[in-house]
Amino acid sequence: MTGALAYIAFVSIKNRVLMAVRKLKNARYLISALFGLAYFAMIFGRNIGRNSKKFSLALGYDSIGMDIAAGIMFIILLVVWAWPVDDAGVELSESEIQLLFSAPVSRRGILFYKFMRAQLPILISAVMTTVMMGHWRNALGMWFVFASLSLYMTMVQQLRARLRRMRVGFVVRLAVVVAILAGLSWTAIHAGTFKTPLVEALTFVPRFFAMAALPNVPLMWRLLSFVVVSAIGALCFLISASVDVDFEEGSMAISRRKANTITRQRSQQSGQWIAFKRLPPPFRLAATGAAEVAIIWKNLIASLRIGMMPIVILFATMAFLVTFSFFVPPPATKIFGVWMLVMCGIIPLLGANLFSQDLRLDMTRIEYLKTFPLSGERLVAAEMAAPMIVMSIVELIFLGITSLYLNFHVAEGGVARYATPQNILCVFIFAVPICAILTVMRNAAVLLFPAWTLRSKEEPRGLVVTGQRLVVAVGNAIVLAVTLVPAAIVFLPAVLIANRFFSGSPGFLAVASLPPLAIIAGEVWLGVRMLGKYFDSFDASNELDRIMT
Amino acid sequence: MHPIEVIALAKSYGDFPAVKDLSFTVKEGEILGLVGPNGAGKTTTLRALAGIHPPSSGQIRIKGYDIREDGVDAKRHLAFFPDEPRLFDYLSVDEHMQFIGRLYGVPDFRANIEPLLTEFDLQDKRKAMPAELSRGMKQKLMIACGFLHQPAVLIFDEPLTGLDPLGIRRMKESISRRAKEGASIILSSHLLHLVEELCDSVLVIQNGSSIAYGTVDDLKWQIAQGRGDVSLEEAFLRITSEEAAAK
Repeated sequence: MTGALAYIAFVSIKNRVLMAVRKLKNARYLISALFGLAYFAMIFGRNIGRNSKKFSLALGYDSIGMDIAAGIMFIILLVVWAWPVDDAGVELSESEIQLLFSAPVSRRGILFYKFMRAQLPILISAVMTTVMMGHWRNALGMWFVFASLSLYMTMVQQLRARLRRMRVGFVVRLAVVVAILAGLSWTAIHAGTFKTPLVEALTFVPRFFAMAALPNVPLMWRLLSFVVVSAIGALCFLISASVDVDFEEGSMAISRRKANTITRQRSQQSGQWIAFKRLPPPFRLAATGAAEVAIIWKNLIASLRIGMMPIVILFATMAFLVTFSFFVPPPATKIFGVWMLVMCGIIPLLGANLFSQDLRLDMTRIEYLKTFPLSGERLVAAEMAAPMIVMSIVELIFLGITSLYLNFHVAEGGVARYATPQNILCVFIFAVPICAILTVMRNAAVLLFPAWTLRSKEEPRGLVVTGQRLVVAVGNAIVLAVTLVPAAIVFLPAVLIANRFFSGSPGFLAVASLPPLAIIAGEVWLGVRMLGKYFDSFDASNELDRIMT
Repeated sequence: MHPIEVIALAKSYGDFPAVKDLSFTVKEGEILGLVGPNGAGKTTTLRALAGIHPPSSGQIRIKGYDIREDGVDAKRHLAFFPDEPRLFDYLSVDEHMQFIGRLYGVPDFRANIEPLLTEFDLQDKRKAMPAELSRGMKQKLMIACGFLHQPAVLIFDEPLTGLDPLGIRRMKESISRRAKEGASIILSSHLLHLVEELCDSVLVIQNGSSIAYGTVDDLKWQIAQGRGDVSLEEAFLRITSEEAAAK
């Protein structure tokens, strides 16, 4: 049975690696992997060069560095006992639970399988940690430590569950751990040193973990520490396998909790976490009229129920600052005013990320969208309208409050003179098209590269996903810069002409801003048209494995 | 002109031909059963008919509108019911219905919502969000949404998955009633007794190609060859195994 479990664990790891390698045949994965590799090489390369000198000191059994490391390790090993979770078992996937718990596999077998399955992530963590420390050659020692620690954690988890059955709950465990730490500190303070016989005895075992993990430890000590750490791991394994607890039931509870957490996190990351379920629709949907309104209505509901939290936080912060400003001296009110101005500038840029209730939210239902009786162009435009409306309203309110605040509080100050109605209006009419361009870009990314921008069960990890994010971020920045260039070119002569002929009159604003606005609006229209055409010809079957979560 | 006309439909995923040279029609009030083993190309065919997957070649006409050239007009007349309901997590049951009503321009859709919710036992779930519904209820909601605009063409992919016995009976009644009212229906299912009970004609596909097409009685007679009665299940198994042996 052990052989079969080892085989499953080995084959799982092998297949995972092979799948990752196979994906690199696809150019977009290869490019993003190369970007990710370059990024990590840059970060780690810098760390190797920078940190290698920090650990040049040889660390013997009794050195101060080793004492500190052993002390930290002791605290880690102790604090685990105070962890609130007291279910027995181990965390497994849904399919692992179905397969392993219904098969004639002993608890020892399941623990062994879990241990084997964890080795690849543990090895990667060990390599990453040692590279970050600048001593990648010590990865083997770190691997021993992490592997043994994982077995120790598993053992403590079973023992916490056993303690619960003995009516020793979280509070008692926490109290004991705190008492031990306080007692040790008290004795150390009285003795004037931490190197008391008691501390020496308590850190005896953790010292071997520290010696295995740290660089520049003499070879003999290192080899000895490997043996001790491995023996401790084996002992923990045997204890875990023999403690009298509800192993299967606990495993299912832990696994269910973990699955729920992952689902919630994914929902939050992809903007699908519904914060305000019962918020009513923003308006009553009439039976007749343009079909697009239905999409806008739907996405406005999504914006309210999903994207309301950032709006609440933004306005709560603003309300707090405005209220607080009545009780603070002028320098602080000026700082608040500057913060509000900065936020007015940032909202158009951040808004496209904060409010993603458009194609980005609906892409996982692309099959359903494709059955709607709407042309691609109309559907894409309608999808993007809701976040645009929300962003525009938020920006308008922010600008209005900021303008009032600056004129009320900072009337004689420098920033107040910029908060004129003319300037505020100018900022607003530019902010909306910029929001529109950013929204088009984000939606274009999700439609053109769904595998890069959406999260799915089989999403790539590590190098590839880091590279993808880099490529998307750089791509967005480049496209934004390029799309704003024509408007910027037109803006300069428009301002000069407005200044020459309409200086001081309301016509100044119109002449200066309308030409660049027209260009941005034209770009948005062109973008929507192109995306619409692309949507019409979009073949979901080629992307299904990537977008159907 | 029939409400559903499929002429030499082909669909490939990269180099893999999922559907090859498929032709059939569905008359008004007719229910066509689309059957075949796993991976035969049934879902691909249905998705192409619904305008989700563009066909690689061939023609699909819904009420005379080409699904590629006049996709919007074609889609106004059809409703597609996938095997896996994908609802909007942030809309309640009632809001789903309102959304679809406006999207398809159903006049006075609010008056039509109540009877449909009653028909599918969802009247007590009007305010519920999809996360609060069982899989069967989600399926019912998806079907209620699809019926709201009274489409002339209905395409079902495994419509009974996840439904309870009462739901199955009501679903069968709903499908039959809509066919009697003149709707053209395609129903894909592995439940051959359901196909035999509901469908007027059957299209059997295997490896993306049509291997048998005709009325249910014709197919059964063809297989039985005068040697007593056979069930559709028996006919299906013989047809597909003969085809596999011939290859």
